[in-house]
Amino acid sequence: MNERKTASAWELLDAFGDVDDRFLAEVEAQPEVQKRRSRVRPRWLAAACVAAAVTVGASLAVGLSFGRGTVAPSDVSSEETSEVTSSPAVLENSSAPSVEPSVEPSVEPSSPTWDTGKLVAMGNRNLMEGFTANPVELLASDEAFLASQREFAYALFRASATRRTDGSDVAVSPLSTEWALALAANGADAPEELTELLGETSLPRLNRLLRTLRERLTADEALTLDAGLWFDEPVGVYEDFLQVNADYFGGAAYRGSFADAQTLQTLADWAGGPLKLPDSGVALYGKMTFSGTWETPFLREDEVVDGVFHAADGTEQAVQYLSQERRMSYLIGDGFYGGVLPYAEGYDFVLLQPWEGRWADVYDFASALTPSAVAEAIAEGSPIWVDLMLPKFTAHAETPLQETLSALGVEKLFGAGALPAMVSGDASLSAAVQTLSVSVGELGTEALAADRLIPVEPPVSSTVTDAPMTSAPEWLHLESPFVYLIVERETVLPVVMGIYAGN
Amino acid sequence: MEDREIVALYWSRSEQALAETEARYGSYCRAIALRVLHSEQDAEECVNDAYLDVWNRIPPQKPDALGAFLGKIVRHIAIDRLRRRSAKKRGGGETPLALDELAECVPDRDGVEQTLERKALTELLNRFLAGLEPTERSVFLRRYWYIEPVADIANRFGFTESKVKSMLHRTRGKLRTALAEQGYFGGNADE
Repeated sequence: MNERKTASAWELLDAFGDVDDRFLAEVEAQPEVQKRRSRVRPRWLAAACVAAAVTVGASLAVGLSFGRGTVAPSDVSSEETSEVTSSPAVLENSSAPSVEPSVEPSVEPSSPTWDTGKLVAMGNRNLMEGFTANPVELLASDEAFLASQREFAYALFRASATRRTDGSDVAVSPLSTEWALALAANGADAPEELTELLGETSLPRLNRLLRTLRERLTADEALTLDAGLWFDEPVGVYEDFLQVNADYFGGAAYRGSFADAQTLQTLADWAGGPLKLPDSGVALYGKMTFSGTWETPFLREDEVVDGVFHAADGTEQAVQYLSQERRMSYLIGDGFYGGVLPYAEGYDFVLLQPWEGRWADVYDFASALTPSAVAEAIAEGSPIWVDLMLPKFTAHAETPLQETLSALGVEKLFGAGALPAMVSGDASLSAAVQTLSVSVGELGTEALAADRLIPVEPPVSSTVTDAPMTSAPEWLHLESPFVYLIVERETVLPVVMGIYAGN
Repeated sequence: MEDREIVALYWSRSEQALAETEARYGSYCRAIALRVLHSEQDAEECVNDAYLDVWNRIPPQKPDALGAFLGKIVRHIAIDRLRRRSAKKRGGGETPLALDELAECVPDRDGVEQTLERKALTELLNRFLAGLEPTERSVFLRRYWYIEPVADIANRFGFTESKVKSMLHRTRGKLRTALAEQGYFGGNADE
């Protein structure tokens, strides 16, 4: 800090001392220590809350759906159609599932010899009514588990990028995919193909690890992660599966006719926007939102400039660039260069620009990307002066996952009768689609639209500009397709991976 | 003893006023000074200076809320003391951290020097604080009035440290905009 700036900061700090007494009285009136606020929101309000909290720096919403074409009528009654209450009496018979807390969850379906419990009675309803989560023993991630998470994330990204030939954007959320797959594994006949893919052969242990990981990743509320199940009207659902859902995943579960507008509305309410349902059967959704604020937002008028982006399909796109000359971690890796833009919330936005001539295109580069290549580049990256130009963009991607997952060894999940611990009958998942949108902007908040930008003078002030610039800055002008990742800073675990190709 | 009774002792120039002030607000004052100065000896001296200042101010002043009146004096003396000390050597503790954070709100003043009017700046801060949600306001004041460590604030409110840092970051951004809009610290008053 220079002397003038220091003096201003002192004056400001001192001036705080003269603020109105009523503010101090308000502060003093607060209890000494408040209890940690519950992060559990009413299930059906959660989606609306997410919808209201969009777009800060980068935001995204993920929908992952699985559906099957036909469903055999189950062996449960189809007469009850009224709205349910939280009373266990609405269940099929009087022996309702225990909702009393216990140390261990009531079901740990690690074995194919399922004790699936009773079927939940028919009727359009929120199936999670009456289920409360049992206390769960959390299990901290070790490095081996985190390494397997990173491997899965990159494998999913590589598989998603490999098939691209149309110059389109790619955006996947490994975290959301994993969350939904893990929930599906708890109802699957062959969970091992999923647990092995997700890096932990014991399903109960995987449940605990993921639940613990979610609690950590969502602790600062920048990221939310949820799952939801929608069952067509005739489908019978096992109580024990729903109890596992309550214990570990906290997911929504709703049954109603997929042809009914009200059912679609419940899904839209949950997701924060319209999502498609299959014609019938079961639909499983993973939902992730990320709302991060740049540690150093692009506040000034001259930090948003017009420019041209050379898209993957060969066209030139008019875009707006976020532009800063700033200190940031500059990356040089095997066949790429890039940088790290930090969020205020413990996540980083990692930018990777493939070297021209080294790769056929950005998809070729992405198809070869590994966790170790990125981790090494980040570890060796050093903060230097960088002339950054990052396009503002909103990318929407719809990724068919069945083929991708098949390439990763997931086959049985899509076979007939693959979900005997979740639903009655010859159930299977016949489709898997992930939709994801990513938005990158100067701040992300609606409160600071373009007409509120701070004028060019005086020069921007922030911690990243405190050190004097002693040499010409490196250029990081992302004017052609590039790879981006949103990673948790501490573990470098990707929660979103994508390619911005200009389309 | 109630505030009005202690103030009456000051008005009667009874030295018992100081003893009663110490009994009622001694710990409160030391806590404020200690957070700023990070030194028990300095904090003790600061509190003593504050008592002397209060003795000289009452009368003619007659504060309704003696605690807030005293707290502001202690804080002002502590910050002034730290500022003079920091001119020689940067100390440890929370205040330098809070100072660095507040520096984000003030651009480098390479342009035309703006004369600060303390009263107007305080009024701006009051308007700014009034526009915040109560929790956001309390977190902000805990950090920049009471100079509390982020960890303590997190514990007090039941938040994670990361959340507190995020809240403070966003609020500082708002303050920076408000200061710039009013032309403080070199900002453009026309915006």
